[in-house]
Formats: sequence, structure tokens, C-alpha cells
Amino acid sequence: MTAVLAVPGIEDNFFTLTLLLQNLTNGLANGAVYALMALTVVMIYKTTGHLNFAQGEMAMFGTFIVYVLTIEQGLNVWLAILLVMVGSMVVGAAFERVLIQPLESRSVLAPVILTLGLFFILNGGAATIWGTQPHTPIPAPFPGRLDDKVDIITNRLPHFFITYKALGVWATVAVLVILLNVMLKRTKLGLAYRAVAANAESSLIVGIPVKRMLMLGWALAAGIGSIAGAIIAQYRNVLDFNFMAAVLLFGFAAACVGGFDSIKGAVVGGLLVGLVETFTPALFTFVGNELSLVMVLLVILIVLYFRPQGLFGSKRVERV
Amino acid sequence: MRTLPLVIERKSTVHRVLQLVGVLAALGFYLYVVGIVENFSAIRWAVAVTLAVAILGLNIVTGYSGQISIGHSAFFGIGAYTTMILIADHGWPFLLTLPVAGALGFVVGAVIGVPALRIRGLYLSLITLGLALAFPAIVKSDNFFGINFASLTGGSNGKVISSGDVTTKRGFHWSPPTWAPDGWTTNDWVFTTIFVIALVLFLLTSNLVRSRVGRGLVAMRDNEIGAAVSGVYPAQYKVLAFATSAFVTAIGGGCFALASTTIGPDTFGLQRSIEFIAGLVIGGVATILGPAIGGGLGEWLPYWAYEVDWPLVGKLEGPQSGILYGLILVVIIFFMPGGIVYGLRQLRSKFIVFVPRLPVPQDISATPAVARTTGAADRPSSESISPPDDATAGVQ
Repeated sequence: MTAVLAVPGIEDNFFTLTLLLQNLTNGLANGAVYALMALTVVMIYKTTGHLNFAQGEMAMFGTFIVYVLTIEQGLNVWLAILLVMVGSMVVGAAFERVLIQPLESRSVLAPVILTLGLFFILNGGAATIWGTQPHTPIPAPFPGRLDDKVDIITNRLPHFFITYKALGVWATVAVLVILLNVMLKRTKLGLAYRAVAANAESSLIVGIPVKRMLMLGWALAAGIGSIAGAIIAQYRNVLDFNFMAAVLLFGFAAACVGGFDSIKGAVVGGLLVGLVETFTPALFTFVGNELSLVMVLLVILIVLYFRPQGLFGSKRVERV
Repeated sequence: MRTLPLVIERKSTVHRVLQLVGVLAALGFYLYVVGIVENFSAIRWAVAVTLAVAILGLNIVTGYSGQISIGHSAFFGIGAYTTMILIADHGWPFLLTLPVAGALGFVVGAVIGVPALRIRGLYLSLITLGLALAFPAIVKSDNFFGINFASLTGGSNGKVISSGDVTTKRGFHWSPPTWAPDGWTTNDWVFTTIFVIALVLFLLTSNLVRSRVGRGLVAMRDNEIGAAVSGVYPAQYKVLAFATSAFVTAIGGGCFALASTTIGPDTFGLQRSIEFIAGLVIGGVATILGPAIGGGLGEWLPYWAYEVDWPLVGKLEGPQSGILYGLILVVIIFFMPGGIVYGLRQLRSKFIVFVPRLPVPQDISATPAVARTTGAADRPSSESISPPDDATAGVQ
């Protein structure tokens, strides 16, 4: 294949059609994973205005429990994920009630520090219980063997295909977003949640149990997070006590791009961050593969510079 | 027979004597490490002091300007790598590398701080989280926008201060000078150097927070709009505070390179950052002694975690000691907000009271970091939530 363009700093075969498509699907699949983490950020931020820095570690812990249930106890993987999801939701709500609510009357920094403490406890706890070495990942929720893919372009090299696990991630995000939207827009519970997000004080006056809605936000986040953890463990083929820390940053970045209080924003932001992560090293020769974290940091910086409220967030930020 | 608490006037002779006792305690700690503890522990204490300096830097931004930085491990790392590279590859004398390390930290801090601090909210913690995670990746990277950092920093292998031949210029030795007392080892001399640098930085910081700038920062932390009305430019002050804090932490990092002689990228990851925050909160936010306690904890807690056979879990190694950190942090937040220093002061006030009283040490968890136009106290007590838009209502 001859070089199409000879621009310094640009990878030539980036513009090969099948490679381009492959990068696109990879980026969108990574992005869907980040969208899940961004959703957890949004669910908590909408009502409480907090960032939960322990979110990734909670998901990591949940994934280890899926590991115990499936590998050690022989449960079906989807049943295990369901059990862990329900358990996570209870634990998430309990964390909010026991640890976060007593700090609400203090400052916005106290809950942040507390979630950092939780980060340490969960991270160190997992390292103590399951060791610091990587584990055999959990059984795959989606078919993940090499030939589990849909071939689309095979008459030229490299081939272009979509793996079942990428399709699985997209399907999961789609189902979750639809369920969330139905819950928030069509049920009384969702109405109450949205009311608290819009104005907690007025909600209290009309008799909405505000504190329960804050717990609901944490529960939803923990539930979504546990699904995200299990999916990422398969998608990245990794399971150790640190595997979620970087993913959480991507989730934060996605929420930042999309807007911290928008579900739509979380999904779009996640996909965008995934695309940036995949495309920048593929397009530019001067960006190393290992720099995805740096690219994401740049994305956050640029968003904060030009559109601090994110693409779909409501304008709440103010400059000082 | 006087009744407790004893009332002592500030700047009176008795007060001065008590202050002298404090100075003697610091001196006593120094002599204890240099004279009594075994040689190996002296270097551990030196590392503890460098951690204390790093936390001192963090305190400027978290304690006095009320923003959380999760990225101070990166500034610590920038300082450490700068000193290390200048000494090992360019043969600079150690003390000359510190200003360079500090300046680099300052510049990076300013660049990061400008976008994050112009906007109110938790954005600084978000960006600095990214910084903490990205720093090891940058250090290991061989293609960072075309720059091969790995060849500069030694990549994942880390870097070592080369202690070459005494006769060659390039080898590095931090041996005691000729006027040092007999029996001083290199470790004693390293500790002495770092201890003196730390003392200077602690004094400067303590003066800084009592200066016009420091009072401006505290005013802004406690009520941003009020401070702005009184002539404190929030954005300028915040960025300046953040950059200064990065400066101090980077110098701590430079000292860390001297004390530990070997550094690697993963020494400066997210764990380290959270350790700094935990150390600061446990020691005492917005106090000068808090970082000292936090530094000691940072070096010795992992050691105790490994030495002690804990119930249920046994020995805790490496990242496992995070459990202890986290538990202490949670307990401190709930039961001793303000940290150990504040707790000790409360205890002391049962026996001795200094007049005129200083304002109550600002407990990070009692300070509204966001100035609220509708103050938290004005709201009904049954409602202890902070709706996100409340913080900025009316100030668009």
C-alpha cells in the first residue's frame, strides 16, 4: 500500500478504509464502557453534587465477588452479575446513608475526602483478600473467543469485523439507558428523583423523601458500576485490585465532556472519549500508545477551558 | 492554687518559654534521629521529612485555599526526577537542583491550575486525579508528543543516583563535611540536610499563611464572594496558591530523591497522592504541624502495617496498608474533624488557654469550600443536603 498522504506526524495507513473502520468500532466499544462509568458519575452528581472517587473501587470489589461466585462457586456468570448488582445497590445506598449523609452539613470537601478513604479501604481490602497479582478474569458475559465476530469486509486486508463482545457492550449500554430513562421519566420514583435533582428544598416541602432519593442515586450508581466492572474485566481481559482506577478517570472525563448532570451527555461523552483515546495514537505518529491517560487529561482541560458545563450539562458553573 | 485551665497571655514570658520548649522538642527529635536511632532508620526518618514537606505543600492548596488536589504525587515526582536527572546525568550539586525542581513544579502547577481553578467546584480534584494517573505513564513514555521521556527518566526501571568513584567528577556523594562531628554517617548527613531544608520551608510556609496573601487565601476559602469584595482576586489567588503548593511539594520530591537514592515511576502514582491527602487530614488540615505528623505516618504506617501481625488479615504489605490509612481517615473525619493537631489542641485547652485566643483552626470538613449566598446555616436543619445549584445561585 503506497502512502496516500505524506504529512509529517500523520500515520499514513490511518486512512486505509478497513483500519479506519476498525479503529472506529474499537473506539466506540471502549467509549461505551466509559459511558457506563460516566453514568455512575451522573447518577450521583445529579442529586448530591458529589464526585465519588471510590466508584471504580466499588466496581472492582463487585467484580471480584463475581469472580468468587463464578470461578469458585460455579454460578452462571449472568446470575452472578445480577446478584452482585443487587448487592452493590444495597451497599451503595448504605454507604450514602451511613457515611456520606452525616457529612452533608459540613462542606463539599468532607465527602470527597471520605470517598478517598473508601478508595483506600476497598483497594487495600481487595489487595489483602485476593492478592496483588492479576487473576484469571471472570467467565465472559459475552462470547469472547477469537472467532466470535461478525465479518463485514473480508475482500481486502486487514479485514474489518465487529466482535460479539463489542456488540454486547453496546447492547448493555443501550438497555441500561433505556431502563434508566423509563425509570426516570415514567415512574413516580423517577419523578421524585428528578425533582430532588432539580430543587431539593422544594422537593422536601412537597413531601418527597429527599434523603432516600440521595440513597437511590448512590444505589443506581453502584449497580451500574458493578455491571461496568464485570464488562470491563472481560473486555480488557484483566482482573486485579487496581484495574478500575484509570477507567474511573475515563468515566469522569466522559461525564465532564457530556455534562455532569446529563444521561445523554454521559453516553455521548463516553463515546467521544473512547474515540479520542483510540484515534489519537492511531492518527499521530508523535503520540505513543501508552498516552491514552494523557490524551484524556487534555480532553478534560480543553472542555474546562471552552465549555465547562459540558456538551449537554445545564449551565451551573461560574467563573471566578 | 489556681484552677484549670491555666490562662497564659500570648507573648508573655511564660508563653515564650513554652515556645522555647517547642523549639527544643524539634531539636530533640533531630538529635534523637542523628544520635540514637540506628543508621538505617535515620534514612527512613529523612524520607518521612520529605513526605512532610510534600504534605506541607498540599496543605497550602487544600488547607488554606480549600481545594482538593489528588495530583500532588505528580509534583513530588517532578521534583524527584528533576533532582535525580540533574545529579546523575549532569553532575549538578544537590542544593542547586532544588530551585530547578521547585520552579518546574510551579510552572506545571500554574498550567494545570489555570483551567481548573477559574471554575468553581470540584474540577481541580478531577484534573489532578488525571495528573496523578498520567504521571507514571508520561515518565515511562518513549513517545510523548515526540519526546522520549523514557530515555531521560529511565522508564519503568527508574533511576539511581550514581555513586561513582570519589575521584571522578560525575560520581555523587553526600558525605558529611569535614566539620561534622565524629561518627556521622552519610545517612546522618542526609537527614541533617533534609531536616534543615524542611525547617526553612515550614517556617516560610507558616509565615506565608499569616501574611497578606495567606489571609487572603483563608478569607477566600471561607467566603469567596466576601473575599472578592474585599479585593482578593479569587482566580489569581487560587492559581498562585496551587502553583506555590506545587513548588513546595516539588522541593520535597527533590529531597526525596536524595534520601531514597532510587526512584521509579510507580513511586509517584495515585496511591501516593491519596496518602498525602490522608496524611494531611489525619495530621491536621490548615495547621503547620499537621503535615509533619502526616509525613511521619506516610513513612511509618506501611512499616507498622508490615511489622504487626494484624487480626484477621495478618501482615499488610505494600498497597494493602491502604486499609489502615482508609480506616484511620474515616475515623478521623467522623470523630476528630480537624485531625490530630486539632484534637491535641482541644485536649490542651482543658489545661492551658492562651489569650487572646486564635481563631478556631479551620477544619476542612467544617468549612464551606464554596461560598454560599444562601448560607448552609440558613437552611432548615432537617434538610442537610446541598442541591448542586444552590452553591452558585444568584451569582451567575
